[in-house]
Parts: sequence; C-alpha cells; structure tokens
Amino acid sequence: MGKYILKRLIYVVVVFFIVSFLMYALYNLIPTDPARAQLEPLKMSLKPHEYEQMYSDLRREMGLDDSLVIRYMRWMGLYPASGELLIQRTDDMGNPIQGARYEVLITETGIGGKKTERVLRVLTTNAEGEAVMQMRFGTYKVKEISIPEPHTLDPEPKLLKTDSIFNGMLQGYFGKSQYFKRDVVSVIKEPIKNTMFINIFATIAALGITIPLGIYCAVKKGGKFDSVVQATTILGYSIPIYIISLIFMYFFVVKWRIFPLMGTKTPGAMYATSTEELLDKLYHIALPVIVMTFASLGGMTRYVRSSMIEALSTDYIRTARAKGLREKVVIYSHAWRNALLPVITSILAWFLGIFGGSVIIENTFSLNGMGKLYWHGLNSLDFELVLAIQMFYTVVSLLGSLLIDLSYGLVDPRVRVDK
Amino acid sequence: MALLEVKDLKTFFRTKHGTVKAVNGVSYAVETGKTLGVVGESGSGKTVSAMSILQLLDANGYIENGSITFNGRELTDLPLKEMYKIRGNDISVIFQEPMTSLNPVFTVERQISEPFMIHQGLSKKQAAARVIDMLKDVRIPNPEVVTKQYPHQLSGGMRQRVMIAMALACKPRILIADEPSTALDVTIQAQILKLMNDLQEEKGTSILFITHDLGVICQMADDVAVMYCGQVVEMAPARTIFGHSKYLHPYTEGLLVSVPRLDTPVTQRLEAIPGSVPHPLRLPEGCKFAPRCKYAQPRCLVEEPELVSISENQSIRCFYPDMEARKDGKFE
Amino acid sequence: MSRKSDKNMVENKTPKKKSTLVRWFRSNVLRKHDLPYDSASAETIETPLQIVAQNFFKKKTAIFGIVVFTLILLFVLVGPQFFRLNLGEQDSTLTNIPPGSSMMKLPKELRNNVRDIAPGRTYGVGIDNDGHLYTWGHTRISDVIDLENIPDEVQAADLEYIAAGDDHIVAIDTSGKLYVWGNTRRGQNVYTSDIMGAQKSGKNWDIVQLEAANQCSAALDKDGYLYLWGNTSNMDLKVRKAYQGQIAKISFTANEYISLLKDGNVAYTGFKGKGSPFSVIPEPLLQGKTVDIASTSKTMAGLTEDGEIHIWGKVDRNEGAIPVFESKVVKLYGGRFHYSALLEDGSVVSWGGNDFGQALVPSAAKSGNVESLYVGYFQNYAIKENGDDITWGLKGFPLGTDDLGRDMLTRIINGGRVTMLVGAIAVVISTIIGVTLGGIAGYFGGKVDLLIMRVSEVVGGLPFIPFAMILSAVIGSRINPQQRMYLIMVVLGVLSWVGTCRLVRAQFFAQREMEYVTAAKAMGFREVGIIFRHIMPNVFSLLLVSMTLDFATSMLTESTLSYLGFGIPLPTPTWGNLLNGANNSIVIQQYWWRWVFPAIIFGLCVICINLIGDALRDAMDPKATER
Repeated sequence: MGKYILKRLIYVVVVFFIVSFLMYALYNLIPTDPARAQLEPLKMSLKPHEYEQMYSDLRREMGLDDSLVIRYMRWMGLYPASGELLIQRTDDMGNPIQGARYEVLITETGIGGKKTERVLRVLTTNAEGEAVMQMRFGTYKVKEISIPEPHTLDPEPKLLKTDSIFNGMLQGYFGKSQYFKRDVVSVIKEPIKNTMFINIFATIAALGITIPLGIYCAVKKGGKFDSVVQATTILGYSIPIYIISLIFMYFFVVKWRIFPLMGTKTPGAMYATSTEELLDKLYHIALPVIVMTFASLGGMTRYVRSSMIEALSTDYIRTARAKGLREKVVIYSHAWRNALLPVITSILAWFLGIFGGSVIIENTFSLNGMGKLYWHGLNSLDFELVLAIQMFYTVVSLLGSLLIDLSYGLVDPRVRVDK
Repeated sequence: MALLEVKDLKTFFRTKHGTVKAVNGVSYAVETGKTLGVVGESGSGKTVSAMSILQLLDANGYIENGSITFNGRELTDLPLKEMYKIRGNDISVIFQEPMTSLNPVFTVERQISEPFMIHQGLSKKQAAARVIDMLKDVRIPNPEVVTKQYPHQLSGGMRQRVMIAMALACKPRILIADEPSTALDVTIQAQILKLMNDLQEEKGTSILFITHDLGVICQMADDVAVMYCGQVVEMAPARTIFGHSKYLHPYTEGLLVSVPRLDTPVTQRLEAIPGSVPHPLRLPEGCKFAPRCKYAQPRCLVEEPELVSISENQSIRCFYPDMEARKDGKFE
Repeated sequence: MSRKSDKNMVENKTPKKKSTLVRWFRSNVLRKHDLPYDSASAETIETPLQIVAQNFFKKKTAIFGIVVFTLILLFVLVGPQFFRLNLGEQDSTLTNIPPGSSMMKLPKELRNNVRDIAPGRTYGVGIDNDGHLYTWGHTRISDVIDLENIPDEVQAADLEYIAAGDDHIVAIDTSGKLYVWGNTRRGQNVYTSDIMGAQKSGKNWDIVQLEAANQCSAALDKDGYLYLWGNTSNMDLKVRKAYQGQIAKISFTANEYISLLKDGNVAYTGFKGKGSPFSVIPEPLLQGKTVDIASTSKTMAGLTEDGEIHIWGKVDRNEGAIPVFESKVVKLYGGRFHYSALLEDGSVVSWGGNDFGQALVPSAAKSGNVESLYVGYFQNYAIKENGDDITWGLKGFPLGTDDLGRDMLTRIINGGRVTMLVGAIAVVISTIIGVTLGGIAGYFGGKVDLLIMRVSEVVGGLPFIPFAMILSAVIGSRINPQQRMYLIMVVLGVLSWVGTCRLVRAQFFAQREMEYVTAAKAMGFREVGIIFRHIMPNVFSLLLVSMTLDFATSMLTESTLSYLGFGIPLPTPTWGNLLNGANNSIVIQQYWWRWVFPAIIFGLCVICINLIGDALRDAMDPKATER
C-alpha cells in the first residue's frame, strides 16, 4: 500500500507541474501588458521619454522580459523572484567605510540592438560599510563613484549577485489581482471558503441520497419505484444545471418566496452573533445547494444502481446467500463493497462535475465563490487571479483523484495487496 | 427415510418470452452418508433443482409444485428466516467457478468465519481459530498465511479448497456440490475429488453431486440421476449404470459411449449424441429426447413416456428401455 | 477447431471481462449457440445489427426519443428557411412581448361598426360609431402599465379620433376634450399653453387629425394650426411660427415630423431644420401638387396629385421599392417600416419592411372595395365598403420576444441549429481524436499506451467547465464571432475525447485477447487486417452509443459555456445564450417565455438524445436490461 500511495503522490505532483506550466503558458498568450496597465494612470503626467523609461523599468521589475520558463518558475516559486544586493566596503584593514557611493548599472538593449549602460540607482554605504537594496534577482554591475577621504576610489566596476528570495505559489504568494488591486490570496480567501462549503455540502447531500437510492433501486429493480426513479434521473442528467436553477428559482424564490434569490448574505445586514451570520449564510446557500444536489442526483443514482445490479448478479453473492447470510448483510456488506469499486472511479468525474457546476451555480445565484470570481477574472482579464483560481481547480481535481485512488486502494485488495 | 427427498419438483422461470420450465417434475433422494450424482448437459435443470432446495433461485424463478423434505421437514414453503438457519448450516453448497465464487474484497478468514459466526454464534476470534482448523482439514498448506490472504492471491485449486472449507464449516448434513471440479485443471480436479471423498468418509456428510461429467460421477456417486430437459430420465445406482446393465435410457447410453473408456476397443469410434438440447421455450412434444434419439419411433414423437421402475432400484423414462432389444430393432 | 467449441471458449472467458461489447457479443452471437430453437430455425440467423434494431425498437422510450428528436431536428434544420435570422435585428418597440397572436384581433363589438382605429405597437385601439373605446392585443406595455385600463372618463366620453403612440394612447371626444393615458411619465399628458388656451377658447380647436408617436402627440386644427406635446427630449416638437395656420396634415417619424401644407407643398416645419436628413425634401413635392404624406420610422413619403410617390430619409428597409400601381394612388399610410397605399379602385398595396408580413396584402384587400385603411407600426386594418375588416401584418409572436424585441421562435430555431451543429462537430472532433489515440494506445500498447493513458488521465482530470472557459477566454479574445464558434467546437472536442479513447483502447485489448483473434493470427492473418476486419466493426457499434451520449453532453456543455458568456457570443443565438441573463426574478416571473420555451425544447432534445443513447446501449447489451 505504501508503494502504491507513493506512486500516486509522485504522479500527482508531476501532473501538477505539467498542468500548471501549461496553464501558465496558455495564459501568457493573452495579449495583456501589466506594466503598461499599471503606468496608464501616470501616462498623461509624464513626458514620453520618462514614460518609456519607467515602462521599461517596470517591465524589468515585473520580469516580463524573461523567458517563459523562468517566469513560470518564478511564479511557481522555484526560481528566485528577487534578492538583496549587498555592497560591502571595507578599507584594507577590514574596517567598514561609511559614505562610499555606488552606482548600480544595467545594460539595456535599445533600438537597433544598441547596448547602452544606464545607472539604475545610487547607493551609499552605512556605518557598517554596507549598502543593501532589494532588487530583482540577478547580477548587477556596481561601480564605485565616490569614497570619503582618505580612502582611495576603486574605479573598477564589479559584478555583484543578489541573494535569492523565492516568492511564488509554493511560498504562498499567488500574485496580485489587477482588478482588485490586492493580493490574490486576500481576494480569494472568502470565495474559497464559500465554494468549498457549498461543494462539500452538495457532495455530501448528493451522496447521502444517491447511494441509498441507487442500492434500493438495484434491489427492487424493475419495480414501479425503480421505473419512476429511472425516468426522473434521465431528466436530472439531461437538463442543464442552469435550467434547473431557473426552474427552482421560479418555484422557491418567485412563487413560494421560501429562499432569497441571490447573494451569500442579506444585503446590509448586521449580525449580532456569529451564529446569526452563519444561519443567514445557510439560508442563502440553501437553494444553490439544493439545485446542485438535485442536478447531480441523476448520473450517480444510475451509476450506483447499475454497479449494484452488476454486483448482485455475481457468483460470490450466491455463495454468500448459500452460507446463510441475511439478505441485508449480503446487500450492504458483500455486494456494496464490490459495487463501490466502479462507483468510486466515477465519483471523481462526478465530483469534478459538481465543481464545474458550481461555476454555473455561483454565477446564476451570484454567490461570492471561486466560480463567480473566476468568471469575473476571465472577463476582466485578471491574469494572476485567474491563474490562481485555475490552480485551485487543478489542485482540487488532483487531490480528488489522489483521494479516489487511495480509497480505491482501501476498498480493493487487488490494488492494495500484491500477488 | 432418505435425508433429503425431492418429489415431483417443478421450478419455473418467468421471462419476457414465456415461462421456462427449467425443472419439470423431478424426484430424487439423497441418503445419509451417500452421494447422489445428478448428471446432464447444461440446461437440463440439474443446478436449478439443487438451488430450489435452498431457495437460491434468481428473482424470476419460483417453485411451482412439488415438495422437498430435509430430515422430514418441508423446505419449499419454509420462510426465509428459517431458511437462513439451514443454508450453510445443515445444507451447504460448493459452486462451479472458484474464480468468481469468492468475494474478491474479503479475506479468506472473513469469508470462512462468517458461517461460524452466524450459525454457531462464535466470536470473531473463535471463528478465526476455527478457520485455521478448517483450512487444515481441506489440506491447505500454511493455513495461517492463507487465512489472511485475498482470493486473488490464491490459485484456482486453492480457492476451491477454501470454498469446500467454507461449505463444510458448520458440519452440514448435506453438501451440494455444483460441478465443483469442472473449472479446474485435471490434476487439481482429481485432488479436489479425492478431498471430497476423504472428507465424506471423515465426516459422514451426504453429497448431492452435480456434474455433466460421467467419469466424475463414476468416481464419486453411489446413486445416479440422469437429467434431460428438466426431467429425470434415468435413476439407478452407479454400479448399475457403469456395470453392464440390460436396461439403459438411450440418453444415458449416448452419454456413456461418448466417454472414452479403457475397455473401449481402439477401433471403435467415439459416438456423440447428435443435435443439441432444445430451447427451453420450445420443447418438443412427446419424449423430450426423441429428436436426438437414434432409436426414436413414431410413438416417441407424440407420446411422452413415464419414469418407470425397471427393477428394484432402477427407473427409466423410455418406452424401450431394453438396450439389446432396441439395438436389434425390436420395438414392441 | 469447430465453430461450436470456438464459441464455447469465448463464453468461458467472458465472465472475467465485463466490457459492454463482450456482453453484447455473448448475448447476441452466443445466444444462438446456447439456445438454438431447432435445426431449421438455426439457419435463419439474424445478424447482430438486426437484433440491435429489434431490441431498440422494442423500447417505447426509444421510439419516443427518436420521434421527438427527429421532429426537433427537422424543426431546427428546416425552420431557419422559414424563420430567417437577422443578427442585427432588434426593435425597442417590440421588447418582452408575451406569446400570443391577438394583436390584430378586432373585438366583436367593433366589427362593422368602426369609427376610428389606431394600431399601436403591439395592440390596437378602436372607436365604434357610438364613440366607445375598445382595446385588443398585448396592451400590457410595461410591468405596471396596461393600456387596457382605460380611464373611466374616457369610457364615458363620445370619442371621435384616437391615436396610439409607443407607450400611450391619445383620444379626443366630439366636444374637443383630449384624453391621454398609458405611460405619462415623460410628459405625454402635459399640454402646452397653446393647447390649454385653444381648448378653453375653442378658437382654432377644431381637430381634424390626431397623431401619436414616440412619447409625443399631435393634434391638427381644421384651420391649419398644429399642436404638439409630449417628451421633447427625443422629438422635434416645435412648429415654426410661419407655418401655423398653413398645415394640412402631419406625419411622425421616430424623431421628427413633417407637414403637408395647405398650398400642396411639403415642409419641414420643425426647428431642427437643416440638421435633419428629412429637411431635404424631393423637388416634386415642393411644386404645390402634393396631396398626401406618410412616414415610417426613418423615411417619409409624399404623394403628388399625379399619383407619384417620393420617398426620402434613411431608406434601408425596402421602403423605396415602390411597386407599380394598377390604378392611381389616392391616399398614403405609413407603418413603422412599411407603407400602404389606398388606390382609386379601392384596392390596397403595401411595400417596405416585411418582417411580419405587414407588406403582404391579402387578396381580399387587393381586390378592391376598401373604404378606409388604418396603418401603424406593423399592422394594417382595411375596412371594406360593406364593413368587413381585413387585417395583415404582425399578429403576435407565438413564443414572445426577448429584451431586444427579437422573436423568440426564430431565435430558438436558429439557436438550436447552432447548438446542434457545434455539438455534432465537437463530437466528431472528439471521436476522431479518441479513436486515433485509443487505437494507437491499443495497437502499440506498452510505453505508447502508458503515455497516452497518462495524458488522457490529465485531460480527463481537469474540471471541464473552468478549463473550457479559460481556453475560450484566452484564444477567443482575439478572433471574430464566426471563428469563435469553430473555437468552441474544437475546445469541446479537444477536452472530451478521453472517454472515447479509453473505450477504443479497452476494446482493442479485450478483442486482442479473444480466441478468434488468436486463431486468426495463428492462421497467418496480419494483425492490422484482423483489427480492421474484426475489431473495428465491434468498436463502431459501441462508438455509436458513446457518440450519441457525447452529442448530448457536448450540447449541454456548449450551452453552459454560452450561458456563462464564454461560448458562442451574442447576437448569434444558441440554446445556451438565449438563457443568458434570465437569472433575475423579473425575467423568471414576468417574462417567463424568455426562459421557459428555450428550456423546454433544449431539455426535451437532450432527454431524447439520452433516451436514444441509452436504448441503443441496452439494445446492444440486452443482458444489462434483463438484469
């Protein structure tokens, strides 16, 4: 089992990097220029050459000119994003020199490939003889331009390398949302909670209904109840979720006025206690969860039913009956354990379907969730936000598949135990 | 009185296309400590008749008529609750396919200990100890290892031994063996049959042995019931059938000559019974075997023969049971 | 090896492999071996295909599915020929109209008893000879305003003229009292001081023409004084002093009006003057010989005493295609986009915009004897000498209109075509990819298989909707709507081949282990040949099922993406984006036809496809149903 888990883990990690790279590359196809976007408000107040200067500085600062792989690795946190450039100046005796001034130079490639050197910043050493500056990770040319008496100037420029500070996904930094002008992490904090909440809620509710229902139908197959369920489930998986939402909205919101139409909380509400807040939230997400549950019933019920029927018709079920086991034990222990195997495999696709469905549900019901944010981010071309959410979906699906694999291993000894 | 008596059993199946009379008036009996061999082609109703005993029929199957008495107790109308106590306890079953008859997700221990726990009320621990004993009984090497293993880790022969261990767990009075050796290699088959013979001697269990293989019957059975199309066509002691009896049903005769024997002259060709078993929904009129019978007379095609006692312990469902006579073309 | 034993071996093997095909194979091919009826009937072996067809048509649900789906398919394929989609189409006067066909249904009481009729945008109002008022058609012009609610004083009055504007009705009674109701929030009922004065004194207040248009109204005095009132922000509602007392008739376009002067000239009597395209009046109409004028929303027409018609303005709806008249035109009328002319012989000719058949004159009106004609918006009412009424034009919308005034039926039909097309092509793409990759994986096995399976796991493991959204957003931002439609097909295809790939691969593996393949190999057949001869036909039947079910899924996905705004962009309709924006309580409740009809037909369509797919699968695998 240990080997099996390790194998799956490695697989998941590899897939994560491949998918994240593909996503990053894909998203880089979008013709956006965050540097220009950031400078746009200043454009009017700057002279053209100042603007160009700032623009190219910003591009370098944001690392937009690096290769795709470097940018990806930096974004992921595998490549240093920045570092401190440390200049130390001592005299021959090793005593620190204060007040020495340095130029940090960069080389620019101008129009026509002409290379020019430009002073990026001037630094002065402090009492410890050190000058420190946070810079983009890289190597910089540093030239001493003045030094207090009686020390002698060292005119030879030196190449200094910054140290490395990683700041990417793996370090918990998800970038900055251009639209919200905040860290992505703070933007997605609340939605992620909401999304997880409704999805897990809907999943549990759906499994709680579909499994007993599917088993019951399998045991009573061909009966009236079974036929009714079969017919209803066809409806369930044929009608798209947003139409189901509209129908439910019509009855529960417009006609009967049981649930609120939209949002995750009553607008402008002030809560006395946190229980009250939670209740209000539950009241608001009740209908979306009901819709999601209802929409996911169809496929799963059919799946549970058919795999249960398959399991019930096997030879070992006859053996179990011949042993004198009660029918209940036969169904819920012997048959269900086996029927669970195909069910587990399909749960992943189903669970992903629920997550995909939540994008629609969140938009239909205007819930402050990841799906809604994703939609919003895509519409406003909010590069880093969308990537972060996409990574969230990827991680959810990978963790989901890992979980499925593990539970599959737990249920099926043929996977777990080597021959 | 016989330990298990099946009388005029009719087991039918409802299907979309009509009622299939899988077992149509079958009677046989299993004596204490003896083995009854039921032989016939697939679809002859031998398995269904056995499954009727334990009410292990598919959902669309039902017992139309007849009685099954076990130890003087009527089984056909026994409520399920009572039946649970008999299954696996008084009467247990070994199935044909050892590959699929064991639950793949449970250990050997769990599967064998179940009968102990439900019928004898043993605790898990006690049952586990008994499982080891049972595995030893069925000559499984390293029972302590095997007991923790899953079916997929075992070979076919081993699995069938596990099945036998499971069936014999509660020392049943009757063991229904439904082609227990058919799916196994010949060498393993011999081992399993020997094991069953040995165990029967040790424990005095009666066996209802179902097979299509006359050779196996010869080796195992005391009495033989030959079935064809849901009916018993011949009922006789094994010795009578495999000895050179004067009377034999043409079907039994056909089965016998289709099996190579040591005393078959090398020059003689093995004969096969022509044609195949009729569709259960379109059984022929008259004698069911008539369309395939090489001795069939016009009468056979319209009139159905009864199972008639030829001698004290041999009954045959044929108008012309005398082998010599019909071979010579003497039909009267 | 005899055929019988061959099959026996297959049968013995099958319990281990639970693939659909094997079960199908087992029950369809082997059944004949297991239970041959007798030697005679064994000869008439049915082919697997026949059996599948037989099983398929045994199911009622399958027949229902195939019949309804065929109907929907015909509806969607043939429908666009009759319900042509005009992507630029939208009309602010026709928004959110509920289903119905009563827009020109004159009330019983008005029949043979008409004093005046005013066709409104989606309704009609009329006065009978006793001065009583009647309304018909869709009078509920907004959530709160229903023109059917006629004020009591109006009901009591003896009305003489009536006019219907976009959202209000104006009437004048025999005593010269004006009434306005409907939407009055834009000053539709605010009379100017001129009117008040004239009404009070009675001087210059002998009204002979009453007109209403886009939130404004006009009343014309017998002596040529014109009174205009209403919402002045979008209308040129002023009269140059010089023309007062000269005006013989006026006609409204959407934002202007023109006048026919008593001297037989047409004049732009408003203040906009040179700024308006209408101020350039054709020369023939300035020669004092004009006898009638009319206008549509963007054009104007004048009729000279010779019966010549001149059109000017923004002519873009065929208004300029004046037909050849068989007799002299005596009177001219204008609707929103069309003109109707009453001829000397009492027949009517219409031309211009014909979206709703408003320029399609029925033969009864062509044949003459028409006494009076009332034309407005999209409707024509002709009253014959014997009092019979003939109507043509917009009767109503069978499935209502959307928020831009577009016919839902047309959009549903055309949307269905797009959705089905996208779904079908996406399925074809995914099948091609799936079969190719699955075939490669199944044929080569080993490392190639491993690689393909890993890739398919990754693709299959991605949350579909978000991924499709990102692809559509990233690539779709740079291409035109047409290309975007192709993009959606490709995206759907590229993301949904995994199932097909696995199916094909599994079949390859399952079939390769079958004894008959081994036997064929042993006999020296080449493996490729075996694959194409034996495996492909079997895979094909399974593919058919999976393609059917995938088709439904693709349609669902396309519609979902379009619903979210990442699929086919508006204004191209699809069954998904028709529902875009339906998730608010007003639409859900008040404008229910905007979501109920697309939802019903789409739901029905997908249900039918799924029924067909399920039945097909069951037909190939009867064991599964019996279980």
